[in-house]
Amino acid sequence: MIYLDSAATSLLKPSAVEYAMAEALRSMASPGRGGHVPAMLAAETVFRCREKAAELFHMERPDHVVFTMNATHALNLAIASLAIYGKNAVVSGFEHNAVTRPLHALGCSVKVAGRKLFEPEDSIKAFQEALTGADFAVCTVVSNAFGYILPYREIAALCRKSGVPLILDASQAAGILDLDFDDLGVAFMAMPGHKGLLGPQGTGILLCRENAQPLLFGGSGSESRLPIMPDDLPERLEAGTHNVCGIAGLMAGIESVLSQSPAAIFHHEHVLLRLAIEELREANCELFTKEGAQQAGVLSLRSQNIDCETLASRLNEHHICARSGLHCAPLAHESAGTLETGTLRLSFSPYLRERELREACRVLRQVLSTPLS
Amino acid sequence: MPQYWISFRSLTHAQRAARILERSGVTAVLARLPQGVSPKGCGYALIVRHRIHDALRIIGEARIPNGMVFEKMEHGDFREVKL
Repeated sequence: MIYLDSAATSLLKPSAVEYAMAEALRSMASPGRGGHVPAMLAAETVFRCREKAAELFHMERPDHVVFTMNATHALNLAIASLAIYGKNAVVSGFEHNAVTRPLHALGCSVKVAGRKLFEPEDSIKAFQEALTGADFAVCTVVSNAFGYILPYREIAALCRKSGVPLILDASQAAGILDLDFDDLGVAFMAMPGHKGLLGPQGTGILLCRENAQPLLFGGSGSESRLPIMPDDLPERLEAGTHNVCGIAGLMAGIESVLSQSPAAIFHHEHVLLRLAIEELREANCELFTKEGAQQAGVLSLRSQNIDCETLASRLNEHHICARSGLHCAPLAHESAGTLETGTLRLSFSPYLRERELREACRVLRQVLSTPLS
Repeated sequence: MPQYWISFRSLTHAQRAARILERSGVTAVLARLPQGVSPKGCGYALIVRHRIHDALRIIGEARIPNGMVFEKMEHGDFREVKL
């Protein structure tokens, strides 16, 4: 099998992830629930994972690393926290439904800034104009559908200058780009644990500059006599039992990213991206890329003759896993002009080898050139 | 040797403080705070036997909010101490 869907979930993990999860299942209870050895072992593991995440994102405060179920949960927390103070939001033209649906559900007024794919100057100019009167902004770092790396540093600087709190959606960037949370000065940064951080599904992280409003209420393992959630992070946002096995696996994933370095992982995926572009340049399809553009290890394409779902299905027959459709990002597809057709998305990981990608591209070229029966 | 318990309202604050003390060479053991001295219930403490003044200074410099400091008496009772 050749796995080209790491933008959805990185299937191939370091072996340490599996080991850490099994060990947690065997030996750990629940942090903050008792002072016995299994509870304290769980507490130590969870705290170490906070420390590792803080190290990766250059944060001084590990207690401001909040564990969530996934990036969607983290984004919901961040958006709901800021929408309390005002509902005028600015978003990039490449946001995922994990951003647009909470905004819609909360009744926010949404201004879309920058719709031109692989044109950072357009994104910067549009944010500059749209921030006037905005209460908060949300921007993805990397488009999950197209791999476009938005000018997030410039957008963060604009937001700081305008006094508009910014939420960065780092779902496709965490573990791949060197993101400095303290330096960016954003209000929140949300990410899943199961993509570039190489952890298991069911894990996510919200990095918080200031406090936030909980979405769930319940046991926190501390200040139990209070009828409300504690004031302090991370307990304030982490009601209920933690996913200790998942967090143990996530810590092993983050350790692997730290040992390889995001820069090395990005380089590897960028080499693969250039290879895929080269291999598919003459194929019978439209590639979504641009010479000189900042693009992560994600390549979308479409064929005039074959529906993207059919393409993915044909690849699957050859044991090649790629994702077709709108990738839960209709706004991004609308921006790129692919809302009606969708695209086939190839996405890479640190464990994908060049020979595997060459073989996948060979099969894809063959499928693209074969008339439908 | 007196045994001091520095209280914290959250587990994570106590863990952060423990790490910082460890890096400063001060030994501290994480423990649950007895309910009788935990005004809001289910608090945590760092048990420090040596260098309690250094420990409190280091925690203060790191701006980690801690609560009262107790001395555990020989018969097991806790007495608040002002240091």
